[in-house]
Amino acid sequence: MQKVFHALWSSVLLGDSKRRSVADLLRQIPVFKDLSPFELRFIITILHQRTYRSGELVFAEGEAGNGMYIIHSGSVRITGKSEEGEERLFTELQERQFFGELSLLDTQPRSANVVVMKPAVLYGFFKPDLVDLIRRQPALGTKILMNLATVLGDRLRDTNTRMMQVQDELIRLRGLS
Amino acid sequence: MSSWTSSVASGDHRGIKFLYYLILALIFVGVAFALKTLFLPLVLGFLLAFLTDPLVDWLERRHMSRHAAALSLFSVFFLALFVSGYFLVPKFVDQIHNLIAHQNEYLTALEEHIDRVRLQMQQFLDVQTVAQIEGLLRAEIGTRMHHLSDAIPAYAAGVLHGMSYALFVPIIAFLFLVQGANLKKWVISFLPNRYFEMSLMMIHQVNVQLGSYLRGQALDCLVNGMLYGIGLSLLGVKGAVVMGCFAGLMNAIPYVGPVIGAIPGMTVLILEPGAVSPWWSVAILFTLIHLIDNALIYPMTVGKSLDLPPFAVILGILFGGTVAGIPGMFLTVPLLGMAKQMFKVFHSSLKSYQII
Repeated sequence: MQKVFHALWSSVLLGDSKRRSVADLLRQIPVFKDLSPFELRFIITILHQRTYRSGELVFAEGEAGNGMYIIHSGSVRITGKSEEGEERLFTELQERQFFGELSLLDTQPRSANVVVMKPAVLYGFFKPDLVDLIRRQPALGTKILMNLATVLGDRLRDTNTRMMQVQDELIRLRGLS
Repeated sequence: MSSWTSSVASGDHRGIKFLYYLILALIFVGVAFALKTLFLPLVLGFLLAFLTDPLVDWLERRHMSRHAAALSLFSVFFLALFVSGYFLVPKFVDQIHNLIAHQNEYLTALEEHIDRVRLQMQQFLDVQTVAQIEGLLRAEIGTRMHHLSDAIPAYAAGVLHGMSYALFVPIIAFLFLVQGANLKKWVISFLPNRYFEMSLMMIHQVNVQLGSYLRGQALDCLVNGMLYGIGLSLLGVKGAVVMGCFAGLMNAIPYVGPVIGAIPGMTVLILEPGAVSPWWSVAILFTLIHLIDNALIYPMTVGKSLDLPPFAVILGILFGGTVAGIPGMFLTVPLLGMAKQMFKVFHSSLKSYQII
């Protein structure tokens, strides 16, 4: 009887601790920042947990894109093809980072390949669930959309800064020659 | 080393995967076989969940939890069912008693009507042919009326069985409304990583298109039912409201639905002595409403959400009718539409995910 009670209690506790761990992860993702515990709990119910082996493809360049992934554990590498058709490494992402958020808003195909480097647990947040969320909980949906817009705005600002730096570098190099 | 251990050691898990999916498929078939008798309530519950989903969403937007929203909706439904059952069941039982008690009167009315039809037929057919038709008609009616008193309790049992559906179907719909998203997530969790995102999109698109078709169809049935009810009342048909509801429901069956819906109204006018309107006025009324439906109501409510080829619809209705009678005819079109949408979405998804 004591064993059964212990097993039952562990299972309840484990379920709860898992939820807490996912909530902690989400709090560090800018798309889900400033959400109340209740809102985070709701988000957790619509996330899809996926487990990947090392070397497994998450998605490929040119495929239809429908959502973002959050890395709970493990790591991934993001690669794309250069104009010459060579495989080029864009970046490597570790746990508590995310990718693919642009496809929550646009209808363009995926712009890069994502391959798992270390066995990973990813949480997927997809467009149908976001649309459903906006319909059912407009306040929460708007919060997420605003966060998403901020993330994309930051990315655009970063890209502009980098472009300016590249242009400056080009001008400097032309001046040298 | 055995082939099993060698396959595991070499990391080739195809055999294990095959076994895993085989076991899953067997479990699914087993469960489907066990739930065979629940198939119709399950499908109806699923369809009802589709219809009521926007209402539950609407309540949820007004800060009600999904459970509370679905519970409130079905509480209202059960209350309405209880109240209507409280008033309607005694009337229904009375009408059955009445029908059994007066079957000889109906038989006499029918005999008189056959005589009238015979006189009319004799004007353009020879006596022998008329006698043959009359003989066949009388034999058929005789057999049917003979079995009427036996058949009515069976029909009543059928109606009670239908009422048990009225209890189970909302419960199933409630479960789909509350747990549908989790169920979808659970099913998707079994799919391989490579296909799960694609499957998620497929399910979403089929949901959206089928939902809009079903809600549009329900609205179309409601508007048509009201028009039929008003029209039949103006023609002075007894029980016009019930017949309007029946005709509105039948309207969901393409092509043959309006014809089936018109039969009770015409039958009442044929059998009722001194009816205000002739039987063919019902036919004209149904034709007019059907034209209005085709030109105005259907394009506004259902539109081209499924856009099935007429040939496929007719074959589907015949098949559905043969397998499950009128419920089969009802369910054929949404099921066909779902199959078509699934195929369309499946094909385009496989292309967009560069699988084909």
